[in-house]
Amino acid sequence: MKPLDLSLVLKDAPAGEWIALSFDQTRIMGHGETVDDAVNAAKLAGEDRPVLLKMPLPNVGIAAQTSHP
Amino acid sequence: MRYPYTRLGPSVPLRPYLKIVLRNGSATTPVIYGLVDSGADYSIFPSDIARTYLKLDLTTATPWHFQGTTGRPQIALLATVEVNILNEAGTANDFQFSAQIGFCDDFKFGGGVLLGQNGFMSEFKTTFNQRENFFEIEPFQMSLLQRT
Repeated sequence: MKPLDLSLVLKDAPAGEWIALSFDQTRIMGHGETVDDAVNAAKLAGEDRPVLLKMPLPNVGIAAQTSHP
Repeated sequence: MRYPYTRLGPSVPLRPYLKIVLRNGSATTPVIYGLVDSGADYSIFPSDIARTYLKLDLTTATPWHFQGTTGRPQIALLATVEVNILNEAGTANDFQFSAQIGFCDDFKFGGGVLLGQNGFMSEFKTTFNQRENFFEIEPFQMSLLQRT
């Protein structure tokens, strides 16, 4: 199956920040340290239905285990 | 239902994300990419999503103590919300169900939000096919899950 590749859309996305994409996921409409920061920036840019993701750090893997201590 | 792996950058590996929306009554979040993570006991989201978008009062919520790879203990507050899994285009619901979600004040995971064992994998048989860049989720109880 062809993967969904957002690399080009996200090429200028600040690593480690929340990114608000346009609803059609073709442009970055806002970004920030928190979800709210990204959404507010997107709204100021005219996007009322942003799609959110957190931009990973480049060349840094993730290990996502979370469990009871 | 089959979903493609997603690449967020040229130096970021393909990962299994789903587009989701959480709802609490008429309160709703934006569409968010959630990482499917079999190593997480619960699905976890930052607390500001609960307060700002879902209008949840977490003062009486059950605390869940957890630790990630750093070993540092953290607390999430568990609340039951409606989870909507969107289709690949993000334009319609594929699945809709109720689940307990952990909301954490200091959750700064690099992958964003997590879809974990309780509240996600407890509802779906989840199969990864990494070589062919897709994963599949199949609800255990069709009656509890609606495609709308």
